[in-house]
Amino acid sequence: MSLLDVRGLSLGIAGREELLRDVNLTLEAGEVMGIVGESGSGKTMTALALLGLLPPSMEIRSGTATVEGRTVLEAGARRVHRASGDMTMIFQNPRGALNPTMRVGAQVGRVLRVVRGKTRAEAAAEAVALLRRVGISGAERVAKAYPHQLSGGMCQRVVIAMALAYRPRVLIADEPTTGLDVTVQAQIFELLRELVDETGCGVLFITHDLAAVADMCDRVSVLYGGQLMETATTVEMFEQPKHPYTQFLLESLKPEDQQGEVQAADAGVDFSLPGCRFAHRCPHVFDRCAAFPPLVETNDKHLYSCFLGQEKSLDAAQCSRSV
Amino acid sequence: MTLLSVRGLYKTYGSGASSLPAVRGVDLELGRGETLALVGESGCGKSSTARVVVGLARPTSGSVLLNGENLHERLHDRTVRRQAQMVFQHPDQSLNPHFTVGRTIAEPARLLDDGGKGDVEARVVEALRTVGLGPEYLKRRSRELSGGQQQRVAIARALICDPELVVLDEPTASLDQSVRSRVVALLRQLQSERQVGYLFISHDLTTVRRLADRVAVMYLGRIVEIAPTEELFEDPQHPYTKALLAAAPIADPRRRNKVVPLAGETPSPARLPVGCAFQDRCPLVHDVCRTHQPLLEPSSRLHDVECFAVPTPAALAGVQSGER
Repeated sequence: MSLLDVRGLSLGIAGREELLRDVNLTLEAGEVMGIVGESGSGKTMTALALLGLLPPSMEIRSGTATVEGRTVLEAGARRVHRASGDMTMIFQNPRGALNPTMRVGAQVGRVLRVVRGKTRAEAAAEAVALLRRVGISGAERVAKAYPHQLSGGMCQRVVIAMALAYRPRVLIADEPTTGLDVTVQAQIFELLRELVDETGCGVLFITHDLAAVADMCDRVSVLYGGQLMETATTVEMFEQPKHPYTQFLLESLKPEDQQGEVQAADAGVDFSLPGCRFAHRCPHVFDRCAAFPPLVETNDKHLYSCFLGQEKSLDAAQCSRSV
Repeated sequence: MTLLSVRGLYKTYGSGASSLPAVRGVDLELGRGETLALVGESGCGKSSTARVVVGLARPTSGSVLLNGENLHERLHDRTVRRQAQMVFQHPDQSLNPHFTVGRTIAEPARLLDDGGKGDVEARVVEALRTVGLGPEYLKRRSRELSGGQQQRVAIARALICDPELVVLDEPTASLDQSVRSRVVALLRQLQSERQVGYLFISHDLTTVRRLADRVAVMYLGRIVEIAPTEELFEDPQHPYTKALLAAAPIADPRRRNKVVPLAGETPSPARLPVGCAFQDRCPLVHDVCRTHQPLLEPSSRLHDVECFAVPTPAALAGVQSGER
């Protein structure tokens, strides 16, 4: 049984088209799984759905999610997940995620009191210990500071300390280093890796930065237009991408004179169409793409959603039969 | 004659005890058709430098020469002013949401050019075409466009007066990867067609390597290293440049960052130490770094470094002559 198991998750604004369609994800203990996609691909929406934080206009059409077998999300329900310590999230803008009128030590302490039932004194002491754990030097002094007195990197460490206070099994990190300097980003990545090794939690690492994925993640899932395009180990994804969209994404990392076929990069996604959501930009599009492609498995860790490979493997099978 | 020459530029915000020195003695030269990248982390003064260079802010001291003329003494002169234009980081915030695309692009032409009104519309259509958008976009408003299209409109607006210098302040930072490489390709193409000089502000080292001819690395208001792009990436000299290059993750899962290159964070420019600003994070720190400000000196031809720990030919010559 996987630590986190998301099956067939579809959601959208009530009465309108689906924004997220049939997304499947698994996450094992001690694993960092990257969720990559461009803006509007549905990566943050997936995270908010798991945490029961969807905006009121959104509804879950179908799908389930479990953490260690416990249901955290089901179709039709507004909110199943509770602050149980199963899952917690580190947000993109650490300063915005902290309460500006409260000392940071008290903010970490409040999680300990509310979620873990600690007394005020216990919470204060453990908050300082957690701040120390996330690499803040002079934790006693910093605990008494307000967020505006701290740098962006320090604020993100505080947010991580708050997340740790839950002792989560699944940690969702939504672009945790956007807006931080690269030298500080390297420090935060190192901290997250240490925490995974130490606590054995799983991390869903949401980002649009493929270099960060290469650096941090064991496996990757690629989203485009609310559709799960491909899931593979990081090395396989970078070296043997199967889906045309993943190939295109990796191609865009190369200098432009080495890039392949040009696609209309600025075109938006039409969510009302039933077929593959990348079809209108795909250089290999053919008639079957008007239907929604199911996930195909090439080996136990590599899945992708495209008719193209199936067609080829079908051809290959026919060829070998005719020979 | 060089296109842009920045001499001894200082920019300090506020005064007295609360003063914040954002730029502390920057010298730059940029030629026609050349791209100079200014890289560094947040708060290093790169955007302040950019704003002074296009005339959006006044220098505290020092001068900005554009084709040999002092920009800040000639700000009233439209013929000088239209020579330097800017593309901002967030196209969604730097385009007026009430204006159509056509009006947005025409605005600088109407304000800065002497030419008759009649030809403005034709020039707007031409400017749109050069950034890869058709005349059907004239009547659209910026919120109807994607991020990549918005940035194309911002580039068209910067180019309509045919400037010789365009300051690009993180032009691709808010764009998705695939859109980013197309905007970079567009910028390169426009430069080769028009011989426009770019001052390219960025913290994205991959894009810098693709676009820039030379790179200047800034740390807390000073240029600590400047060199031709490939030389800087292949043979960085300053310990901060080395850390910056090592910290950037590489899009290859087989080449992961094993060590964290630099502890601590950039200190606030309001509380700078005496001597080198990098001393508290520097692995090579020496006594002299805590008492004296190092100066930018050539370490090889075209490659200048500001560090006591990097042996420059001048310093080595001094040591050798001292021994003799």
